[in-house]
Amino acid sequence: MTDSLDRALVSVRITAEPGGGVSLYARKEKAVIGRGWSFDIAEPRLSGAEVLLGALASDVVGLFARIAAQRRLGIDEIEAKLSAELAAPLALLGVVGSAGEPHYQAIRLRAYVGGSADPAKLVEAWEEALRRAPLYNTLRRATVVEARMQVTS
Amino acid sequence: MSTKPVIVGAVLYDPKVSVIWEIIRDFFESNQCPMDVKLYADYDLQNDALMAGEIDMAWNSPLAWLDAQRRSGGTCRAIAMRDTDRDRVSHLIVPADSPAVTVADLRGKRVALGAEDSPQARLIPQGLLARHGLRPGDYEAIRHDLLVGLHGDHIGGEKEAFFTLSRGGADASALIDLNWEAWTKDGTIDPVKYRVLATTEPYDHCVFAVRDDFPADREEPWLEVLHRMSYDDPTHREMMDLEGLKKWEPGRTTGFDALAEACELLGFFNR
Repeated sequence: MTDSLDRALVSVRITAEPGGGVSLYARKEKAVIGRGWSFDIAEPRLSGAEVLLGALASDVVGLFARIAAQRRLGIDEIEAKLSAELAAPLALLGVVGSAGEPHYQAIRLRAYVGGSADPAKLVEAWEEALRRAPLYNTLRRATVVEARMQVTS
Repeated sequence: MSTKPVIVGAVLYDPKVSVIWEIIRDFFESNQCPMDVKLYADYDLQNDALMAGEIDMAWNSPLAWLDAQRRSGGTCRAIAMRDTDRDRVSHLIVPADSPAVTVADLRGKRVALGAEDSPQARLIPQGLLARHGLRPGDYEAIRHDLLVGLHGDHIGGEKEAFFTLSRGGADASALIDLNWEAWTKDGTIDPVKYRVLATTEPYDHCVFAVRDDFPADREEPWLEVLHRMSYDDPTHREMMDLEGLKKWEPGRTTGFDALAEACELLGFFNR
């Protein structure tokens, strides 16, 4: 399948790494990702969950920044904090007697935007970004996704 | 050395604990002693598996050890324990200005306890009260049944018991010495505002339990590798710190009398 006016395609290739991670190859780029979800605070690699949050931030916040730039809105800096809540972590670990099906039951994104732009115009740009962000729109169909933007100056 | 993995059962009171068991398993694997870890949601399930032969060994709480002995007719063996599992005590603590001087002064008072199945914060402390003539009913036991089935491994109930005391909802609360030390250091408990009223006799905590028929040619190599862990070796230290010990000791079964007595008194296994 190739890109068309109706749809676009992205694909990657991975190889499994010892310990449950993967090496990800896309175009000429490579990234190593750890386990899908890690409980190890000393885990040396980004977990799949962390990468997912990064992808969501790129999807929403990155798009917002581009829209704001196109509209010549004065923005000095954008920061965002994201979190994801996993339901049934013991089931993920294969614990005998655990109940439930592991899933992301809530994902939260809070962006902080500083700059000289009219706050009302920033809100318009944020809402536009949410409408156009494909990962955000996919995830919110599956679970609770809260994506908020706060103007800090 | 046998190539058949030794299957060790462990109860998970926090997902992060899975990381410790992975590190321990990797240590055994790297010492040419294959080991698999099977995780359980509670000690009943783990002992079911031990009795059924689905696992070779169970990292058992003191209550789970008694239960394994009860189920097996006293034939299970405790083959190893942490140095920190030996000679623990629990305290009954009261506000510093409490009029209570002896345990008997808690007659008619409210005693905050941990979860129903917590040896350190419910069963053994209630045994201490009984030894001082206070049977259940002579005082109001306020239990904090958080995550029952984990035998108090999850300290939530024990901590809630203290919070009940601190809010004035109880006249005393029970906790293990390790938590008294930790919580008076980290600010959870202000040691100026609370004092130890009474302390239990020493008791033992967790053990690696096996069935009587666990073969020596699998047990001995496993124990030999376990005892290779040295706190002096920096590569072992992190693992031992995570598991809360400085040295593995042989298992012993002499430290469970107070718990057995409390279980009998409270009819724990008949409930």
